[in-house]
Formats: sequence, structure tokens, C-alpha cells
Amino acid sequence: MMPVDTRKTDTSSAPETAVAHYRHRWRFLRRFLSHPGAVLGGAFLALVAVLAMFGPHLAPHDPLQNNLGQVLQPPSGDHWLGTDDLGRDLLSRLIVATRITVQAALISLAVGVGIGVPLGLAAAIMPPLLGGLLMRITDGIMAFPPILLAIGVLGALGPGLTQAMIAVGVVFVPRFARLTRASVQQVYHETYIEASRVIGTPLRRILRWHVLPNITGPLVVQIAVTCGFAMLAEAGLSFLGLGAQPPDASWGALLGRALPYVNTAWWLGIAPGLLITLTVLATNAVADGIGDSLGRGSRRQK
Amino acid sequence: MSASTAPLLTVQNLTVEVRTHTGWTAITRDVSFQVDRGETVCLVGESGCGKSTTALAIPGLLPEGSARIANGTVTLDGQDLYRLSRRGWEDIRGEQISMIFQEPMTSLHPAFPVGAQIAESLRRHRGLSRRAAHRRAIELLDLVGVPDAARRVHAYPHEFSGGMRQRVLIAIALACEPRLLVADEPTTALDVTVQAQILDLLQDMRDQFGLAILLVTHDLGVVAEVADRVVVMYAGEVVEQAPVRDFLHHPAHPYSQALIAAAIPEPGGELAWIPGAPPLPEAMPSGCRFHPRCRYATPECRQPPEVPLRSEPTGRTYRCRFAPTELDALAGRR
Amino acid sequence: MLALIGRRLLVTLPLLLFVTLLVSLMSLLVPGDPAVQIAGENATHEQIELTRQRLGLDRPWHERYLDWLAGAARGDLGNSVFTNDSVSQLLQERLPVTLALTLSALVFAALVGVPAGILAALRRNRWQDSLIRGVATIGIAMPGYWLGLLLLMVFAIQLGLFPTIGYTPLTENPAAWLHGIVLPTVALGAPAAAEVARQLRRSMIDTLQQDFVRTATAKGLRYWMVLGKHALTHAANPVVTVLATQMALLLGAAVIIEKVFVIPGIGELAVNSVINKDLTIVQGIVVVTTLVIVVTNLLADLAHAWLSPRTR
Repeated sequence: MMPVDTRKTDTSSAPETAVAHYRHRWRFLRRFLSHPGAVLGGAFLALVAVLAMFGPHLAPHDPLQNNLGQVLQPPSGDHWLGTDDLGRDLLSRLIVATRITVQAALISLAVGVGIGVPLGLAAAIMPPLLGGLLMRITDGIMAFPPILLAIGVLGALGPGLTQAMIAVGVVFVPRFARLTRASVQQVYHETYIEASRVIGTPLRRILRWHVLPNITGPLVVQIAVTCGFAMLAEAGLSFLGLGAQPPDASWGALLGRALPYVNTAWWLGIAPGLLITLTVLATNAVADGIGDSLGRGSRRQK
Repeated sequence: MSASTAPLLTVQNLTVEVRTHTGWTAITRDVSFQVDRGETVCLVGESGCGKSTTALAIPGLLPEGSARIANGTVTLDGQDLYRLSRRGWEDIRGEQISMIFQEPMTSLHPAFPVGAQIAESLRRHRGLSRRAAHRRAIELLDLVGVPDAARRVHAYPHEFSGGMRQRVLIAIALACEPRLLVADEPTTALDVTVQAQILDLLQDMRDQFGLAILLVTHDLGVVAEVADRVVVMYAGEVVEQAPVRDFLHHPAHPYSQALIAAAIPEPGGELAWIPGAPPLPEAMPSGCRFHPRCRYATPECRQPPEVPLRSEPTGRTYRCRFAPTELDALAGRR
Repeated sequence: MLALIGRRLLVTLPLLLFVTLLVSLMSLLVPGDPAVQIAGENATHEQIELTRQRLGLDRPWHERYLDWLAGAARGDLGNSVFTNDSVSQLLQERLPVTLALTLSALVFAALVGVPAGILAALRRNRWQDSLIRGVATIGIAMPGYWLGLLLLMVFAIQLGLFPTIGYTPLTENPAAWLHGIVLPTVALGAPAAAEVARQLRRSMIDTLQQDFVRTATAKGLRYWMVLGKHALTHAANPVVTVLATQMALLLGAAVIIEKVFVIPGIGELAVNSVINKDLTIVQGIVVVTTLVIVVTNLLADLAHAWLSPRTR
């Protein structure tokens, strides 16, 4: 008689069903809250969200009000961050720009997910040869320098904030497509799915109950991770003048406008860049927190 | 053991601590034994008894930062090894003391040919030229039984099976003719037939080079085959030490008896088994560490203090409150 | 090895074809009309028509593309729709500048990132590790051009250690080129260095726990030998991939850095081509960029094969 093997059975490869998710939400929240960095990041992002939503009401001055008598003033009691080349209060411009910056990032993510996920799903379900070919094409796109790709797309669409964000979204499509395809493939070819198909379960059902829950985890992490890059990309394009067009401005655009005055009104360049950096730091911290809290299978591709 | 030859390796009161989430915990305690020149000593015990840790401590391969020597010494030919500088250790390893491990599949660098990995040792310790080292590497491969050595010397590890890789590792270990080979369960991960071949190889090498071997194993079959002496460990302590015949025929410690009974079936009967599991370092039983699983346990065994080692004139030592004759009496009473 | 190169080259041609086809197709999507833009705001209908004919924009799309393709095979990448300058000429002038900047940033990233990653791995969880990881985290969050701006402010303007504008070509005066390229290199290379450091740290920590490193130590090899020859060669594998990926990112980011430091590379070209909807320039840039990426990936694959013979 052999001693009993008391090792726990390894269930880490068993795919999730939708029902099990409700239990996991609690655990996820608890784990997330135990990461100080992620919590701090989340708090900062909440602040940014508030600014984005209520910006125009919070700004001390009218961001579009030219005041040519007060051009390029250093920070003072009246203008905490100084004034720009048209006499506009920088702080107000910055606050109002928050909404534009956040919107831009969200649009690009929406484009990336909206096109990438269905694409990946299709690539996973279609015959492997076709799917493989599709993936190679997306790999090729992924290898291309993102900024240049965005500029290339803008070459067709012309400059403008929405156009820029669509361009950036296009850059994200391959990443989301790959992720979706990999996650779906993990589940789709499992025997129990085949069994399900054989007995005639409609594809819709299979997708919703088995496939979808399996991708949400990694997808959420990937979205959080890509958020930071979306901000940097938008800021970069706007910095070049290809994104937000005057008089609208995003943080990146404000940074771009500060460039000619680096000699004289150097303070104009500090705040926008700082805000971008802090927000990207915050999104990365939150992304790390989400990745760690979701546990196995959803670890962020480091 | 004649008085004129001092032991090659002396392990004295070795206590190793590992870092756990609660701080430093001892996983071996007061481990003492010695290995004479040319002798094969087997370190035996269940998983988790501390035998691998003890083996790693000898060439100073305990992972820094997560393990430390809390007490005791390891002495090679009178030299206290843990007084050595880093360079001193680097000179000893591979040259005086070599070690082979349990996992041949992952113990070779995947990007260098096996010949180069053997030659590396030779060039480091013997200062051989590239060409000379290469030639010697081929000889060594041949010696350890790798067929077609002259060609295989250029091959990469992934082109070898597990058994062959272990042979290569033995070649590396013995390249500079060390005086002591520490082998941590070298055959556990291999097929049974290959196991026998490797053991034969080790014995051949021992005969050829006059090698002393400290072999860690949980397999009594291996012990019966190669050991001169046996050191039995349980829960981090040495519980018996004896020449192999004495150990196999008249084990003194109840644990040793149970081990042997579990390996060798009673005539016409089943294999015996030992109930329970070894204690965790944080939850050591009071008094004798083995008493919860011992068939002879008396209330006295549960009481502190801990059981000291007793020695017999034959040179055997064991850690029990009762002598073998007393145990027989206890068994008779039941 | 030769087979690898051969296979790559074979794939490159259809790749270039595909990519330029895509760009050319985009011209069909372009909402604006370049002829209108070039002819000017006050142009009459006839003038616009004339401009269109002059530019060949009245011909069907596929004709224009095939023409361009024929020219490209000969090395002539067409002319700018806007200025009629030869695209090949423009690229010849500007691409080397951008490449030089990108490569120097890559070298910077390796020179700074590799030792940092190793140090962080060796002093894991101690203050050196925390510091390096902290700096790296900020490094990848910060926009490179903001760093460039800050560096410009502090080192060029305030301290006067480096030139603020003005670019000296490498061929003209290497010392002056170097002097001028330092700040842009740091600004461009810093995020890449941060990523390299993070990746190498992870890779190194993982490698140091491998059995074969233990074997190397058990052989009695010197510490530096174990580290450099056994551990690093193995840990370097993923880092080669990172460097290759970074190359692509750097190429894009260089475009923005060039604006900050007024460097006459393809950045300006690219931006203007968007504003002017100058499709031939965009096509030209896409072609050369794709070539650079292909070569980079090829080099990375060769490095991988050298580092780990199993893949050969």
C-alpha cells in the first residue's frame, strides 16, 4: 500500500467559464488593492478623469482667450503656469487639453480593439493556413516603426486629431489581433469545445460562454498596457503638429508649441511633459497591478 | 580505518539555515560525518531530510542569500573550506572537489559543444592549451563510455540523451582528477537500465582515479551496490552512521530498519511502509524527531531533551534512546 | 546561415511590393486633392486641371503605380508631388542623417542598458536594483522629446555645453558631429536603454538560476567567466530581440527628436509629406524604412543563431 499522493491537482490550464468569474472579481479587487503603486496610479488616473470631464469648469481662465498684452509671461499669482505666445493662460489650456488627450487615447484603443479583436477571432477560427497568413501580415505591420506607420496613415487621411488617433489605432490592431488569436486558439481546439460543436451548439454560444471569458483577462491587461503607449503616440503626433490642430490642443500639442520658446519662455515646456509622464507612469502602474492581480495566464508580456 | 590516514573530508556539526518568510530556519542540524580517501559514502534519507543541502554545502554551492551556514565546519584535508576566499573556492572546485547533480538534461550549457565544456575545466585548472585540452576531452569522453568520441566531442548537448549527458557531466567532473566527487542523486532522473550503467561507470572511475565519492541517494539498491559506509539522515539530523554491511544486516536506528524493510520484502510478504511524513522544519516534534512514526516509540521518546548520538566500539553511531538490543526487547514485549 | 539570408531576401521583394501597393492604394482614399492644393487657393478650374495633368494625376491609379514601380526598380523613386524634387535624391540626403542618429541611440541604449541590467540582476532587491528599476520605469514613461527638451534647456542653453541648433554632417567634421549628436542621442536612446535594462535584468535573473550556471560554478571557473561566458551569452538572447524591436521604435521616434534638435533627417520630410499629401515621398519613405527593418531583423536572427545553436 503506497502512501497517498497529497499534492494538489494542477488546474491552472483549465479554461474559465463565465460563472466562475463572479467569484474571481472579489479576489481580483482585493489583490489589486494590495499593490501600493497600482492604487496610487489609479488615484492619479481618477484625478485625470475628473479633469477630463469637468475641465472647462475648473479652468481659472478662458483657454482660448488671447491676451496679446500678456504674451509669454513667467508663472505668477494670476497665471500659475505662465502664459503662452498668444497670452493664453497655460494652466487653463492644460486643464482643458486633458479631455482631448484622454479622448484621443480612448479612440485609438477603441479602434485597435474594435478591429484587432474580431480580426484575431477570425484568424483563430478560419483554417490554419489562412489564419497563419493573416498573422504573418499583421506581424509585418507590427514590425514597422509605429510612429512612421501612423504618419503613413495620416498621409492618406490628412492631419487632425481624430485622424491621428485612427492612425495610432491601426498601429495597435496587430497586437490585439495576435493576442486574441492566441487566447482563442488556447480554448477553441480543446476537446470539450469540439464535443460542443459536434452536438450542434451554435457558434455564438460557444464564443460567448467559453471563448470570450478566456480572452477578457489578457485583453484587459493588454489594453491597460497599451494605454500608456497610446498617450505617448498621440502626444508625439500632436507635438509634430499632425494631431490636434490649433486652437484645440492636447498635452502633446502644448509641448510642441513650447518648443520654439525653449530659450525664452522655458517654463512652457515643463508642465505638459510632466503631465504626460505622470499619466503614463500611472497607467503602467495600474496595468502592472491588474496583471499581477489577475494571476495565472494573464501575466503581462514583460 | 587505520590511524595513519586522516580522513579526506570532515563535516563537523554542520547546521544550514534557509531563509523563509518567517526568517532563518535550520534545515540541517549538527550534521557530522567523514569520508576517507578512496571511500564511497552514501548519504541516505527521504526527500526533504537535508541530504541534498548537506551535499551542496561541501563544495560551497549553497545559494547565496537564501541559505547560510549557521554553525559547523567542512574540512578538506585539514583545511577549513569556509575560511577560503572566493578565489580559494574557485581553485578547489573542479580540481579537488567536483559535483554532479540530479538533472543532466539542464546541467550543460546549451550553446557550447560538449567537448568545449570539458576542455574548459582542463584549461582552467591545468592550464592546457586549446589543442591539448581538446585531445584530453576526447579521451575523457571515451573513458566515460560515449561512443564515437572523436566526432561527438563537437556535438551540442541537445544532441545527447539524458544518460549520455550525465556521462559528459561525469567527464567534466573528473577531468582534473579531483579527490572527492559529490554526487547528488545522479541516477534518479534516468531510466533504470541507464542507472545501472552510470553506477558502474562511477565505480570504474573510483577504481581508476582512487576517487572518494559522497553519493546522495534515497535508493537503498544503490547503497547496497556501491557504498562502503552509510550515513542516514532524518529531519535534518544524522540518525545513523555505519559500514554498509552492518547497516543492511543489523540496522541500529528504527528509521534505518524501516527503510530497509520498505525496500526489501519479507519472505512471502508485502513491502512494509512507514506511516506519516517527515516533519517540517518549523514543526519539529519534541524529544526524538522520529518518534511519531517509530514503531518502538515510548512516552520517554516524546520528552525533551533531544536525543544525542551514541557510538559503538565498531565505529557505528546512531541517535536513539535505546540500543539495538533494547529495541529487540521492546519489540518482543509487543 | 546562408539559407537564412537567402530566404529573407526572397521574402523581402514581395513584402516591398505589398507595402508600396498599400500606400499607393491609400491615395484612392485621400480625401483632399493634391492638384487643388498645389495649384493654389485662387486657381481657376482650368489651372487645377492643368496642374493635374502636369502631375499625371489624371491617369488611372494602376498606371501610375506601375510607372512608379518601373522607376523604383531602376532606383528612381519618383518625384515629390509638391516640389518635383527627386525622392531618391531627398532620401539620399536625409536618410543617412536619421540612420546615424538612430544607430547612435541604439548603441547608447546597449552601452547603458546592458550594464545596468546586469547590475540590477546581480544586486537583486538591493538599492542598486531598486534605483535602476525606478529610473527605468520613468524612462519608458517619459516622452523622449520631452527629455530632449529638458536636456536642451539644461545642458545647451543654461550650461552651454552643447550646441542648441546646427547640425554638422559626420563626413564633414566627425568631432563636431559627435558634439552635436550627444543630446539627441541621449534623448532618443534613454527609453530604449530603460527597456533593454529591464529585459536584461529579467533575463539575467532567470539565467542565473539555471542548472548549467551551477555546473559552471561547480567547475571552479572564475566568477567573471561564469557571468560573462555562461550566463550573459544565454541571457542575451531575448535582449537581441529587444534591441531589434527598439530599432524600429527608434526609427519612428527619431523623427520627433529631429524636430527638437533641428536635425535635417527624414523627419521633416515625413511630416511635410503628410501636410502636403505628398504620396510619392510617403512611398519612398516606406520603401527605405521597410528595407531598414528587414535588414535589422535579419541581423537579429543571425545573432540569435550564433548565440543558440539549437536554432541553426
